[in-house]
Amino acid sequence: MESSTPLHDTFENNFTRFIHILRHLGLRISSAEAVDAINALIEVDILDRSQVRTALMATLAKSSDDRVILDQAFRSFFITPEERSYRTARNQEIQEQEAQEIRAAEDELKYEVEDPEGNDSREVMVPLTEEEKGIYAKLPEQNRNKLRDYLQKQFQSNPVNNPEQLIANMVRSSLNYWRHYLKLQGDGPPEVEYTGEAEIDEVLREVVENIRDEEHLMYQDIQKLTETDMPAATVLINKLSRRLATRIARRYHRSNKRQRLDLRRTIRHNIRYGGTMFRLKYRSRRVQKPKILLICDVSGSMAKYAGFVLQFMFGLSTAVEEIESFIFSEDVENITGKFEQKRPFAEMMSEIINLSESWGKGTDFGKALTVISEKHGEILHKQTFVIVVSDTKTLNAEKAAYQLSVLKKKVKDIVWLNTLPRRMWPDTPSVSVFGRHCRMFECNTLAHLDKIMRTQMIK
Amino acid sequence: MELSIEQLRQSFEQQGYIADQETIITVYLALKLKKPLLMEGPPGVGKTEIAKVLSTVFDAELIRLQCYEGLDENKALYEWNYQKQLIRIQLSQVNRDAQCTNVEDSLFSEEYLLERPLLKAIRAEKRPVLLIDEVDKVDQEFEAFLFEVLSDFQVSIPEWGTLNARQIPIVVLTSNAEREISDGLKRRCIYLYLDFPSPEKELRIINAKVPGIGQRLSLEVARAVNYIREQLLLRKKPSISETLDWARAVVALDADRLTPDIVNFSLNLIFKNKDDIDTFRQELGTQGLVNYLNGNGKPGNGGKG
Repeated sequence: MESSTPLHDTFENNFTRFIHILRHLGLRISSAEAVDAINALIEVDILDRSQVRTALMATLAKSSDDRVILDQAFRSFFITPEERSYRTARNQEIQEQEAQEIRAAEDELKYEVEDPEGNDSREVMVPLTEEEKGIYAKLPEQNRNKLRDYLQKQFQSNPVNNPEQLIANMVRSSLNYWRHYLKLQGDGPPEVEYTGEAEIDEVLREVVENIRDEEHLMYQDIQKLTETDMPAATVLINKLSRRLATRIARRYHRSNKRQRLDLRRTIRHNIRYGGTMFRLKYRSRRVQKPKILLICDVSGSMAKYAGFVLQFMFGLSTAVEEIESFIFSEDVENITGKFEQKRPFAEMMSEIINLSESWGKGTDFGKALTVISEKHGEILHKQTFVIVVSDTKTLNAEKAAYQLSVLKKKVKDIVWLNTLPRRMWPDTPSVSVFGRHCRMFECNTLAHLDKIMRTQMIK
Repeated sequence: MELSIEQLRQSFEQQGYIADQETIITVYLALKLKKPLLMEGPPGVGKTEIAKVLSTVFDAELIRLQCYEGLDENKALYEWNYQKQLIRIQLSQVNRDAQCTNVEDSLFSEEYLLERPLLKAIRAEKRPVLLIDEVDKVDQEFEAFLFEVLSDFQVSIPEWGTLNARQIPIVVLTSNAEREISDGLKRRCIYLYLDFPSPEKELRIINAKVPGIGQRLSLEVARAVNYIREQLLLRKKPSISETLDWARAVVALDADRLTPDIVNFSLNLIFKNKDDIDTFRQELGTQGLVNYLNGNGKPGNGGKG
């Protein structure tokens, strides 16, 4: 006998689709957890929305970030049929609009060219992929005009056979730049993998939009934080940098199990028991508090992150005493003393910027490292933990990477906080050049900084 | 003892623990599914307290494992009483009588075993509450060990073999989220995030925990703390326990309402570092806070307290 309920609306189907959505939003949910969730749902009143939500929260979300995502997904997924059809209609409208834009783009990219062998003219279209057409359609009007004018000239002055491919390549390289740019503008974390299934993608899109609106401070690129965001962002940066300092300064004691017996001390101590080894003494490793060496890039390419870099340096410096701070661009400057005076941040920041000559210049990381190791060699030892904040764009990257490898042998560890978005790393050779000698983390939003702190950054 | 969601809520309230519906349902699910309850949240929001309340509600022994850097299996599971074993060996050498022939066997008997919290919970006759406090402080190796114990509730002592739990304990883990806990451990647990309470909930907590506080004063304290948490960018926001301390202090000062003087005398109970006190004085001030409580519009800047 066939059930009258369509498969789409069964509990099992809805549940597995919801899990599917959560996984696409980045939550790691194992089958065992899904089973737990089902068991939890059996125990609560399934008709009570808040109880269902709590049961799913308790079994599927395992961090405060997960909870934010799950909450949004729950609100977007479990909706009334009316709300669902309204959302579908709205999405269709958006898609139609996009299709229209692409058709308009196709029209704009059509050209009349003269046949080089005859006097006939024919219509040619630049053969771009759908994605490339999409990028073109999203460009600001004036940039589109510029590109079109350029193409017009190219077509007119090139009466060659098959000019389409030649020109498509040119357009592609120009669009490549825009692809990165637009991605930077639009797509931020949370990262989401779309499924290709319209109904699920609708939910995914809505969740990402809502999270980005509500948690914008954490997910916003730090360089785009506005004046009004700054006080709250400052507190967050300070908190995070202080937490980083605690993490680095934490000394993990070795337990007795892994230690070796200290025979000398044991015998001496046990003489009082007539030589019976009554109390065992272990060799304890002296764990020294690590020192931090902070090297921050304040060159032109990093100018937009200057506020963050200084705030980060300030936060770390107020939290730990054993810290040496350097800023570099073409030259390197030691600004450790500036932070030690315990003055308000704004006052100190303007003094550092006014007195320093490093701001906004080119970058020479290799030179900075050479100067630090020559002039401040005493701070480079096995207890030193190095933090570099830079976008890796420097002169003589290979030479600088060699200097970094030399530094690595002298210090405890090197962590690189890279402000360049990860999606641009493959196209930036310096990233892999430096990445070989340190542990590199993407760090251009506060969410990144928070994530770095929570993961096993400190070995 | 089986409790419904409503009964659990009432039992918690009887113990003076005011919890919202989400907390109650999550605790209920952990009990029903017999899974460890992992709680995260800022310090002082009542995470540890839940374990204590559970032990009272279920009339169960509370076994506490306080985590810290360097905690290892010896301190968490069991240890052999080495000194006692040595004495036994020495005695057996002196009195070479028949009783001491089986020294080797008896050295690893119950008598020489020092039970630590985990083993104690596994061997308990009656279902205990096992509180593993601040689990984010241990190193990863110990976390992996913990994860093994919590999966099967069995441990192996080489000299004895494998021991299975007589009763699956009610396990409560707390974490201040200083470090991300491993996926494996999280997967085994029911998760609860406890945040600072709403003013209404905090008011109920104050009334339940601070006897003799008047309705007006408790309302003012709840509103004031909530306002301070929301409006000031502090290094450390006042926790529930600090709110209660403050409320008790104000009651001890025989006050029936918050005045600038009373707030000034008791500032150290809500703020635990100088930066936060400075921030409070500069951005709100005692007069500003009292103005807010009296509903005189927005609190003015710079009541110097």
